[in-house]
Amino acid sequence: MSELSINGLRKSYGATEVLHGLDLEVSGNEFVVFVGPSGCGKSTFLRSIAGLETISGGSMTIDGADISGLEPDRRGVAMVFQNYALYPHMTVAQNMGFALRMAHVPKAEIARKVREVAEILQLEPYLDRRPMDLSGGQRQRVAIGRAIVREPKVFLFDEPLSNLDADLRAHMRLEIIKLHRHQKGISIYVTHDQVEAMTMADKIVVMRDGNIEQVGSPLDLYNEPVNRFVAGFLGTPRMNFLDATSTGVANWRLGLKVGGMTLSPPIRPDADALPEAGAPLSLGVRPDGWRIVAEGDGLAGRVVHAEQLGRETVVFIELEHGPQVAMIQPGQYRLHSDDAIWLAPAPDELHLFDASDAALPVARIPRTNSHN
Amino acid sequence: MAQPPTHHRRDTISALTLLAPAMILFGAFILLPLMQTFAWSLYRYEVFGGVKEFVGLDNFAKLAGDEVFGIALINNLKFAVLSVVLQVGMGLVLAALLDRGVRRFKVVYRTIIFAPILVSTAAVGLLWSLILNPSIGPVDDWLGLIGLSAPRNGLLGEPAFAIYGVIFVGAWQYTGFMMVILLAGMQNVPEETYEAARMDGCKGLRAFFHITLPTIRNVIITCCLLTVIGAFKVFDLVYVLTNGGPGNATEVLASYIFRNAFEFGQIGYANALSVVFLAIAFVFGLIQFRMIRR
Repeated sequence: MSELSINGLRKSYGATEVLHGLDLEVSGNEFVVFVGPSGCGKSTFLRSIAGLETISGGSMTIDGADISGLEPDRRGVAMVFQNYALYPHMTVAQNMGFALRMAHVPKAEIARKVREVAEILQLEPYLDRRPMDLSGGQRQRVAIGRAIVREPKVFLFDEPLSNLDADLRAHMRLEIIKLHRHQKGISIYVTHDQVEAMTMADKIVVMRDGNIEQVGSPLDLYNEPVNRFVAGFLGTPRMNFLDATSTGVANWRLGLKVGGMTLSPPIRPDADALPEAGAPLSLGVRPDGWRIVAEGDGLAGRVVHAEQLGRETVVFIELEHGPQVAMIQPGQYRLHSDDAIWLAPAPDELHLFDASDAALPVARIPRTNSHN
Repeated sequence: MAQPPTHHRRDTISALTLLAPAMILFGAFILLPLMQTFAWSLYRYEVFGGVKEFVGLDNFAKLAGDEVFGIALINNLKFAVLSVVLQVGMGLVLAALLDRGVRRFKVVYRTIIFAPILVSTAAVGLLWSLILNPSIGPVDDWLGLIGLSAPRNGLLGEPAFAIYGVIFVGAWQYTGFMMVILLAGMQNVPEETYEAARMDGCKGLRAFFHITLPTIRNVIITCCLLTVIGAFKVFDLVYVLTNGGPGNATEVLASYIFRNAFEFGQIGYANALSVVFLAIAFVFGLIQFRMIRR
């Protein structure tokens, strides 16, 4: 069981601060995914943990030992790079054993460890090959093997699957998760792909502009985003946002006017500051949160395009008094461009955000189903 | 009745038409002179005496006992080995410093170090013959500053040292060129590779020996071969700096061929020397091809 603790981590390039005092606690065998748009600082954060970037402030500890000023190889971390970063002149076995060779580990011991890891990763037939003789997936496995051989406490992955095709990416996602479970350590994985984040993480760290916006399990973040950015970032297609106006609070319900429609979602009992009547709000509805309703019962719109995916239909609708929205309906809906349609959000699928984009405490029925 | 040309025939005619200009130039200026060189190497062909007779391999037999040819060949070998050490070695050090050591004014340093290659070899030769001249050059004063004295006849006037002077001037001119080629190779090594090495506990000089050098192996081989080939065909620098002297101390193959052909008028013997010269170049070309393919 390892523990990584990051307190007030800052990173500046000259006068420009790119990481603004980040705090993060990771413990046990968690698989943590840093996710966010390009330039949000997620890779810089990862590289700071690796020791490849000198931090400007704050501290980092692994199992209580301060690693902030240590060289990368002394931190107990190993990294898998986006472009594999294998040594082209070395064989697979030499690549995997290089760190041990640098640490003056006896040759026999290096050979034993390399063989062990090669067996786990099914790389035994390729040990004498050079990286240029391997496929993309095999190279990625070698890069992972090189990290495992060092037996680190923390594995760092910097967008390791971005160079692979869709099929191989899905396969390698599963491989990495299986390896993580097998290795028992902390894994920190950087990606801009929110599907990767949702499917792999025990804990997601959503970042924007050098700040951590929210930390939590994938479903916590999906169901209870703390602000409009997190709500919009997770989920495909992304959450739809519509302008709404508060009509005031009555009987633990918040009155809302959206286009020509009125809504009154329940408010959570722990809600403190609630919007006054007339306050501008933003209504968030996930694509699968829409229901098709009878004419006159909701928001009017016209179908722009319907994507027939077989198992579900993704419909893009231009609202009469609002933006274009995406709707997912299970099954096969025969809708055509320009068809008139009326839709309304399901009462327990509403997300509300105030003028500062912070989420409002709307009560929702949890989506989670548990097995048994 | 004539058959219409097939596609295959038409393609062949088009290909030959397109290749013809290059083939004609290649034939006229490379292939024919080459064959003529081979042919004339078998003749005793003296311009001044008007002699031209077939002597078989006599010129090659004479060559084996020619003391000056031996001096020239050894000088070329010295030139090759020391030039590799100085030009490629120094080029490597400078390229490594500019690639990962120096952080500011890189372009300025690179331009200054590269500059000598832009000057013609004849001008470089004249410049250094003045610098190394014992009467008017400053080398005596420079050596005096560190408690040494130059040879009495100057560096280029002493048979024991002259060839090293020429080699030094060659290195002065070409080190920057080698540095630029090696630097281009080093800059092709992805930064991620060095970062991975750092994660593995390998940085600084260790990274230079474990990562940089093996990764740019082919560039180094190419530089070595360019230097060796350059060392074997060196002529202008020797001609301007020492003209092969003092005595025959700085004679090299190219200058000896030139002297035999155009000063002694022994065209047949000069051609035999050229054939040996070609054979040496061919061997080095073959070595380069083999090493890069590995």
